[in-house]
Amino acid sequence: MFALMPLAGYLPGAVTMGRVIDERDLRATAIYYTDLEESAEGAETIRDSLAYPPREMERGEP
Amino acid sequence: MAANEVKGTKEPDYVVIESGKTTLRDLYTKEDWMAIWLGFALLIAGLLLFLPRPPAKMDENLAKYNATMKEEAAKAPFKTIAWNQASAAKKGIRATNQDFAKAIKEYLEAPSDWSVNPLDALYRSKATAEAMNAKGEEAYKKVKEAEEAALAKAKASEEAAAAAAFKDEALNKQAESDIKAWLAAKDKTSKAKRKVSNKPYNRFPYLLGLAVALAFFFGIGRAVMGDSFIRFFVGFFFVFILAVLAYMGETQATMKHWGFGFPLWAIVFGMLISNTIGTPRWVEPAVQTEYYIKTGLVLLGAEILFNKILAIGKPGIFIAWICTPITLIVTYWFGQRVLKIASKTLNITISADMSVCGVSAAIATAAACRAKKEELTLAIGLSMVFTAVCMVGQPAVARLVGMPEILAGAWMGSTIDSTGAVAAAGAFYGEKALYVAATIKMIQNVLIGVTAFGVAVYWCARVECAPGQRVSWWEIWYRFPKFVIGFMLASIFFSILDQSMGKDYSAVMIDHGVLRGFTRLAREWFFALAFTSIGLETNFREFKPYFKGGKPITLYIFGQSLQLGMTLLVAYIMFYIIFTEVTKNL
Repeated sequence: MFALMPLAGYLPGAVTMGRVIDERDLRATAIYYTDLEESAEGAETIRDSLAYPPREMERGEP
Repeated sequence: MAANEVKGTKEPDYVVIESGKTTLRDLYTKEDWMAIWLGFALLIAGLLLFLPRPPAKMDENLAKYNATMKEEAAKAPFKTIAWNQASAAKKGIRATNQDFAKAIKEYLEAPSDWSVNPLDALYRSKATAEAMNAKGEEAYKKVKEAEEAALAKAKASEEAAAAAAFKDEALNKQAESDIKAWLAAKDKTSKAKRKVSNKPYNRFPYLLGLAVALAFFFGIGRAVMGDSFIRFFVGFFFVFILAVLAYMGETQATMKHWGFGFPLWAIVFGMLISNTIGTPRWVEPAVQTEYYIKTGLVLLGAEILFNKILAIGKPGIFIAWICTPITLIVTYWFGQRVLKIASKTLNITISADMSVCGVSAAIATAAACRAKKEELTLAIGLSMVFTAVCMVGQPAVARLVGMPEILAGAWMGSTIDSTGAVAAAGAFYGEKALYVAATIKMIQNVLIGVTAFGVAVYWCARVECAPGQRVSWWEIWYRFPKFVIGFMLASIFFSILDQSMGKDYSAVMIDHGVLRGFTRLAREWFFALAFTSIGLETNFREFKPYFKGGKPITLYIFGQSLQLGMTLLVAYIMFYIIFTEVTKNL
């Protein structure tokens, strides 16, 4: 399997996916949200965005 | 899980034996209860280690960053530079960033990444680390300079917008666009920084220490239950070494890219031994699949925090908590009524694995309904193959049809089985898609608790009965897998703790403290030991009946297709028709 799997790298998209995983140091094998830093970052970013949303443009503003 | 042999008959797998009785002795002689005590002991240790040690000035800093975001949000119609800096600084406050937490992590951490030489997973010299850092230094300097330039441009644009009191739409849009460019540059810097932050390590002494500690931890439990401590202790090291090799299978570069994690390798390596030279007799006392899995599941219970379901507002609840149970129930029904799968436990394990969240859901469901080890193995194998396909295929399809990032994130988050693969697919599509996908998956992860509990009750009350038989409450209690009680209690207790502390404080002390800093690391080791044990006690021939007619694959494809279509429709309705306010602010 270790010998055959690199051949799958010729599939379209697979190389880019591998690069994305390496660049972000993503754990693509994580089995639960606590195994992954991105789930915490995502949830916290969304929480801040919903708790402190930028104000609307005032009426009369172009 | 039942360790009994595969039944090739059409008879019900399990029939009630109306002779149930329970005694106080069960509390220390039965594996389910022992798993609860061991799990609780670790959870209490985690609380005692982390709760008295919050990061310095935590309250003050959290209040300061929240105040900045509030102030900035009221000032401008876009997220300003200061808003983004405050949000990033807030994320930097973690109990796990403290020295004592780093020391704990060092002891419990799995082997590191490697590409060609497996030894790289366990040892890296100072010279190698320095060479790796030197290689990335130039690229890091370059992106750092680009980030500084992007920040300067964003600052200038924001000042221009502020000079017009944020009333000039063109200036606001320019500032917003430049801030986004700066954030993208900042992200590149952070990626490049990782490549110049390599450190030397020698994992051998830590792994040896961990093996001894775990051998004592589980060995004492076995001794209390009446087994030989010495026989367990000796055999445990063999199982532990295979678990380390399984982790090394996962951390190999290509396998990591395809999401083939330690559960698969633990089973493969274990089976290679059991089906060739045979599992040595002296190892057998330490081959304790259920013991490890149940203890791991009690720890997993603490990670099921019910407040997480509100992480992305109402759309998240609809997508993850409406589509998922519908898919689970319809797929199970399809397996029973249409495909007529002989084993109900195999059917529900595959259905939960496919619809909820892959391996973790399969483990919890299989344990709750006492599925056979081959059934869990089959469900995990199917999940890993389909996950690898969906991880690459779904972002490609989304890009082909020009799906918006939030919709693509929600779709991938709810339909790709494995949590890690969801993040990879999201990251492939874009930053916003990543955050939405990972958050939706997190909400879905919480469903494991409800699924495991529901399946355990349903199995005791309905499935494990003779036709037409009514089962008393006492009988249900007798047959109920008791470790599920520990699993649920841990979930309820930590959810209450999470709620009472408040979101910010809990994120620092519970999520990035007790859980990610301690119990999660232990839980993963326990699952690795469990899957190694599965491999060591499984015969290739036991799989043969399950592949008859390709029913498991048909079941998987049916369920996955249903989930793909339904989730896409519901996500579109939720994010783009009903809750557009949420979408706008993300």
